[in-house]
Amino acid sequence: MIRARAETFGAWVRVDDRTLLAVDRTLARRFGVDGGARWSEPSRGLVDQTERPLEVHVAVTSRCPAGCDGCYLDARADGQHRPFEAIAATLDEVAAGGAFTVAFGGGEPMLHPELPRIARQARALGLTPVVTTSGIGLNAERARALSDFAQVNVSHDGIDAYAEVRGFDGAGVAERAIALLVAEGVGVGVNVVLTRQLLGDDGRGLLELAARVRALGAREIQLLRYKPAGRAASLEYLMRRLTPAQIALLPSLLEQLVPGVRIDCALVPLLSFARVDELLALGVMGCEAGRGLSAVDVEGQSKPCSFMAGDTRPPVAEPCASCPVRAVCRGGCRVVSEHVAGDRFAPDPECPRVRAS
Amino acid sequence: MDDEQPQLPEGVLAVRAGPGANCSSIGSVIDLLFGTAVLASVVYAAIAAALPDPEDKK
Repeated sequence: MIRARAETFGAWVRVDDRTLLAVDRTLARRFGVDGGARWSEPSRGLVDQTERPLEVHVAVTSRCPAGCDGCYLDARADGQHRPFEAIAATLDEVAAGGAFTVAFGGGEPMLHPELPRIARQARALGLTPVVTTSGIGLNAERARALSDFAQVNVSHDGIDAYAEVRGFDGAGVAERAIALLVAEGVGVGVNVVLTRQLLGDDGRGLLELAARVRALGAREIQLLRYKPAGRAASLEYLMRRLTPAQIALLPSLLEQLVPGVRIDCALVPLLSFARVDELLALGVMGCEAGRGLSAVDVEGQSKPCSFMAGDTRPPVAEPCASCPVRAVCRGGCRVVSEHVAGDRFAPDPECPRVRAS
Repeated sequence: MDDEQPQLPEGVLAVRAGPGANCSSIGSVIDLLFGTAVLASVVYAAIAAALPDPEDKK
């Protein structure tokens, strides 16, 4: 089922679970979109236009027994599930707001007894549901019930590094979950948080992890920046974040990992992308918080992203103000700036350009 | 990196590939930046499959 949302430039159109397009008015008409009053306004660029979320992250529980040192939500074994009815009401709002994807998280979502029903509810509203799990609580029967999800992403932070980084050895749980999901025909991605311990001196830990999960059947690897939120907002962050030497390795590592690799918006400033126009054409719009992205926490409160509440405007200070990459990075991750620089509106202190200034 | 620009179908301003993953992600942009042209052909096919059949309007 095609889902579309008129914008002044034309429309966002989801043509299938894996393809969301921004199209001009001519092509939008061919998809049956009527722009109405929006098309009587002058067309605005993609970056300025995307002020309503394309994707909403919804926490379904704050319960998780893993107790990971760096849990960004501070999830706990005695955390609470959000009731189905409350989640359904949130999904109604998400759908009415014109979003396309709803990404469920936690806590550990697999522990929520009504997760399959939640996915069906999202589908009924025309949304594309995805979910991220550590694999805890997953069995064959549960995996079979997840067929309404467009993709299930399993978190795996390293074959050897997992236990060191998280204080919980979940590598085996994650690999078992990947195998179970693949066996049941569920599309699997793998979320990998990039840490100093995973990359080591030469990045080999990341490449070996990618090879391992691909051999198990994962079709996509999602690389994430380690963010100092929740329990990760501590001094330990400085021991787990990537070193400048490791950041310099990233382009080479990405080149070895394609195809089938994605990065999150917080990683954009760490890469020495020069082709800004090309990135804009490909929908890269920097920090998405409060623009193309919003989040609803387990209490039902809306936030700009899963990691931060409040104002997430980009920095206006140099070197960001005149940086040629600003359009695609928007000053980097506000969560990192707040924790490391003590000012969420400061330029991302781990950006190579900021460090060099 | 490959210096070739990705060729998107006419009328397509931007493409975000992949279903998302509970972390804001930039899709298969990385694949394209490193010279994998697969995505463009996937987009063509997805559009062709999704567009209403002109015969249906008659």
